[in-house]
Amino acid sequence: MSLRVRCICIFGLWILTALARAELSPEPIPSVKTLPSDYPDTWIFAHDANFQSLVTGKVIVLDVAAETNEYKGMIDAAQMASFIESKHQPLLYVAESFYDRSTRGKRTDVVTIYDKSTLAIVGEIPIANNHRAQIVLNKNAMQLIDGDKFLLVYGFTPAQSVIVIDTEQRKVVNEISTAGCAMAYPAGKRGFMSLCSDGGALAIQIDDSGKEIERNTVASFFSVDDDPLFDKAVYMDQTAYFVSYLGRVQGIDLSGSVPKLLDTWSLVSDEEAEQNWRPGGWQITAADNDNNLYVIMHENGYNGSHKFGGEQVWVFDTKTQKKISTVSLNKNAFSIEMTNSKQPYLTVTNVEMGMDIYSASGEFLKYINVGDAAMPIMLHAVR
Amino acid sequence: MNLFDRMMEKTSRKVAQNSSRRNLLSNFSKLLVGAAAVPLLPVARASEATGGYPGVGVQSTGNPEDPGNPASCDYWRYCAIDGFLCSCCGGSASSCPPGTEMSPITWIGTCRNPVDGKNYVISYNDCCGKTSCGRCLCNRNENDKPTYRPHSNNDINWCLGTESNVYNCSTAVVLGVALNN
Repeated sequence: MSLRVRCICIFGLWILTALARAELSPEPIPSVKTLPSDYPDTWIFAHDANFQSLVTGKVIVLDVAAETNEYKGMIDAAQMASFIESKHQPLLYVAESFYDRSTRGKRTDVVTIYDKSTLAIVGEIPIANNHRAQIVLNKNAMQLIDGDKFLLVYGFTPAQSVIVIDTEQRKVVNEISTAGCAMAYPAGKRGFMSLCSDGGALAIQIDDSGKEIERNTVASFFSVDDDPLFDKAVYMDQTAYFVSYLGRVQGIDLSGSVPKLLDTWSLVSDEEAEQNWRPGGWQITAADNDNNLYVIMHENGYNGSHKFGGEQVWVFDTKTQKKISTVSLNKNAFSIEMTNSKQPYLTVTNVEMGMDIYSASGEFLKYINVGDAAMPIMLHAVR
Repeated sequence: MNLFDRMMEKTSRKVAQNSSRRNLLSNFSKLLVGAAAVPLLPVARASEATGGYPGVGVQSTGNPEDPGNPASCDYWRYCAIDGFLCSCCGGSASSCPPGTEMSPITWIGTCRNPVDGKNYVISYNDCCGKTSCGRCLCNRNENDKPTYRPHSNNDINWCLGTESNVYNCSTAVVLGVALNN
């Protein structure tokens, strides 16, 4: 190659390199991302109670399957808020409380409505009497029923009630006393069940205006003193599964206006009971779409160990009522949830408040930091 | 109040999580001189085992009939508490910090005083009107029941009947000896 040709080649390469290193283009300001209005089924909502400053909790949107950009965004959720995603509209609901001077002043309870795509507020429903219960996060403190037409919000002043909100009119249409009974577990065509302090239950049906039209009570069916049911439930179709402190499973068929108690069965064998294997944690149970029940379990349980999480997750086939697998966790679980994806993910909030993601078969996949000080103790799979 | 669980003190959690459960039990059992071999969960009673919180001065009631360190989660009255200890926040086991308001209604637990062996009814009144104290988070749940039995539940914000419902910390006030002692 002649010197001249070489020079031309070198010059050409230099030009190409320079072009490849073109300066960055100016970026537009403002720039705010959006999300799809229909979330993928590997996404979950991680509700951070933020005990260090309860006036400012939040709900974080996460893709637990993503290799990158797993944190999608967040919405506020103030003062022991309740959260639920609409199944039929691209909306998110947060029941929360505010004070006009942050920690003091006039209290205002509202249900804040967010658009799923923009995570922007698109509406607000006042709960004028401020009866909303402020309780450490519980899914059944707020539920949608009747094709999402009615939103039920648990009230506690300490008088107990369920506040009925019409989501189309966006207003409170009723408040139903549930004296002696707590929470709202969707039941029947248009109603809910509450568990009661005597170990019984109350079931209410409402009409299409939110008015109470039927009330049934279920006599005491468990001992609150000796072996209470946790107040967290998972649904498989219209059967709600509750587990007790000692590992008893109580299924309740809530397809009708009168709750039907199913036969109880046990999570633990006699030998495991001897070793005091018990359920424990916060969101202690989860379900996949194959009728399997996942439960956080700990060994050497004792009076008071029921909220400390556990070192294993046990998986039961609710049809055969047999344990089908055991997941030994990297770090003890505090709360669990299953995604609704075809290949479900077992999502775990560990006791350090980080999130560990496992395959349904128990293979550890990854750790997700949801915020250095976050406390994501309630997990909601995309519905 | 009734915050609830997470964590205890950060370092204790890390220790708990970085240790196998059996090792943890083994190590704790060495610390628990004279205590029964109580099976401990990793997070559960970390601060009990260490007798207090790092960076928090040890306290005493000054009354031999009321033993222990009120700035420690293992203080006998805290058997069913869930929240920030007011003793660590400018108050005491039975008083709220300055400028807060004590909730007039609350829930109760029953704890055994190790000195006289009697069970006492303890009222876990919350202190309200300022943001979370953030110090000495303690969660113990002896005889704690779910929310459908509110008077035995520590998950409820008991800042009720106060000017502001914002939770600051929790006390453990002796109401008297339990009748069925």
